[in-house]
Amino acid sequence: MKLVVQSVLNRRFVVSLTVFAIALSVALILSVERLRDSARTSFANSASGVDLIIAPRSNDVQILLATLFGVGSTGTGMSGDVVALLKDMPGVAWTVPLMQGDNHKGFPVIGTSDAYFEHFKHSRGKALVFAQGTPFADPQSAVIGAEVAERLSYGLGTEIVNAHGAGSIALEVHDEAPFDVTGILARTNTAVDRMVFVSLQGFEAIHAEGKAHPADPLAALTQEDHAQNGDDNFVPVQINAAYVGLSNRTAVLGIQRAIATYTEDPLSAVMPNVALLQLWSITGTAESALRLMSLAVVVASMIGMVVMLSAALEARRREFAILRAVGASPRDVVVMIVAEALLVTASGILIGLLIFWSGILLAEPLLSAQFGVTLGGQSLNASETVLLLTILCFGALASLLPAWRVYRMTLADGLTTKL
Amino acid sequence: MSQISVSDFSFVWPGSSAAVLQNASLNVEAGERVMLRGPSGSGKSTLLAAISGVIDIPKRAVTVAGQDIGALPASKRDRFRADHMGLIFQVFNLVPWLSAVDNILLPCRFSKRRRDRIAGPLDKEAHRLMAALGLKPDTLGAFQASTLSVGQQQRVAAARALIGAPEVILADEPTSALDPDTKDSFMQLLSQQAQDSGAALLMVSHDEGLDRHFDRVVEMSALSGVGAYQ
Repeated sequence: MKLVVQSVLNRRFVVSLTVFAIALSVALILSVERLRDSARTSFANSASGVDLIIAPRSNDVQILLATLFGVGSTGTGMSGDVVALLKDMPGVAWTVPLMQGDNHKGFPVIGTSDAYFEHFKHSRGKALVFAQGTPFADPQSAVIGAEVAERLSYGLGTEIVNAHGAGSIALEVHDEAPFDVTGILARTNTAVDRMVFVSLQGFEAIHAEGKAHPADPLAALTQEDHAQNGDDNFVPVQINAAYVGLSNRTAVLGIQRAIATYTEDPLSAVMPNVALLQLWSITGTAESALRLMSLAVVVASMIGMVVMLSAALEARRREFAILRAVGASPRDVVVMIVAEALLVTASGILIGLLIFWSGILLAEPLLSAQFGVTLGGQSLNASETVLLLTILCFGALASLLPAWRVYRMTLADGLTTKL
Repeated sequence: MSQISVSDFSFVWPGSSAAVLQNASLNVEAGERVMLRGPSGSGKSTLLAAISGVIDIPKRAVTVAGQDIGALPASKRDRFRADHMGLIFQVFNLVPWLSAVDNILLPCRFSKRRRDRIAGPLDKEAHRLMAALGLKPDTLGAFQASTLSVGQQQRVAAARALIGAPEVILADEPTSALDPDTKDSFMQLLSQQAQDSGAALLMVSHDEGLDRHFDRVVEMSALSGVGAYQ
């Protein structure tokens, strides 16, 4: 074994290149797997507490992304009355109205009611917890997610101004209507962390100013009436979506049918889990391609190792002949080659892990801020461990090719050094 | 007791029609130094290969240190070689990236018997042999083998063959790459050390001027036929 290490050290330049190639491929495949896994869990966690999303008729995936993840928008609005209608349907436990379309420094702003904090569940049934402060106290209250608070170093009482649109470039700033932060949510590792919540009244007030709905004077009236109350029963004219929680799961079909036949607005009722599956089937092809590519890179690095081992064989003929002369059997020489391959693969995997871990450290804050996706830290899960072990075995297996050649060669050469 | 005993041994290389060795017989006693001389192609190297157990040979043809080489399977022959034989070649005797001392100690990695026959620390024995062969152990011991001169390399190879006092030392033209002066001093030292350790030394060469270092010189042409030696 000491011989193997010394022999490898003697060829350290070529060997370290090979190790590096394996390390990169290992880091790549681990990252692809981890990113995919964490994106899925994170999205599933974000979507786990809502049974149905009601929104203006649109693509299910679009609705899902817009409402639960604040990516994109639902487009047109729907009447605020729908919420009341839903509440009375059999099997409905709770409803939460949502208004969207603004952002605060790139973080999506959601107009909602206190019911959101009461009913919204994430990560398989966990309720939202306030790290500091309380839900909305008045129409000018805002509640922010943990990521928002951390990124922008906001605390209770910070005054925030929202901008129109979904991007981080503020085209139209609503600086005439600032909000006060009254509550900060505890970290959930879901999309909620990067959301800013304001009351329905507050949200509507911004947009009402200067551009009331001229086509519907009655609606404008009701809105103003209620805006002063600031109570939970406020019904905005238009909302973008509503979450629905069911007391009875089987009610889903009935509600979906009712929504589909609702005449006032064309609406969709989206089951988040079903929409997520749709999303994964869309991204699945790209994912598979990515996985295939990273697998190909691993295979390529393995071939690189076999090339290195094979190319060195000719130059090492003398070495092997000497070893045979001092009593090494051809089997010992084969063991040396396989041991070298294992050593190279193992160090490749270790360095790959280091690259992977430093990659996580660098990428995690970014991904967490942009998408609410957390990468799940340094520990390896079962499938990643299996993957690494497979690579190790594959390395040993691949080395059998040059090992077999060296076996034949040492047998043929015997002790004579033909050089 | 003869350490090397070859009796009525014939060998044909696979795929070749003519025999390189025909009914060859040879005996080398413990402590005896024998030079085997003959032109290229006379079967010298084949004989060495047979004795060292690298090629498959029939039973009861070659006995080394009381062991019938032909009766051992290939892997046992490797082990046996490590335990009982020291080999020196013409050139390229050393693993280039190992130090002189590590090269000398190589047989001890493969043979527990050789290791156990050394009293005291292995490094010390390697240094002793280096000094005995005219190499400065303190300066050259740590040198990489590839940085040594050819003459030094051959001495290191000799030290490696001698370490752990194997019964038999086989040398295949170890002096052919050396200049005349170095040749003589190398043979002097090798011969002396072989005698001191009590090993049987069998050296193959076509060099005329080295006869005086040997107890006996055998011409390859005289090997064939029953009792043809002497």
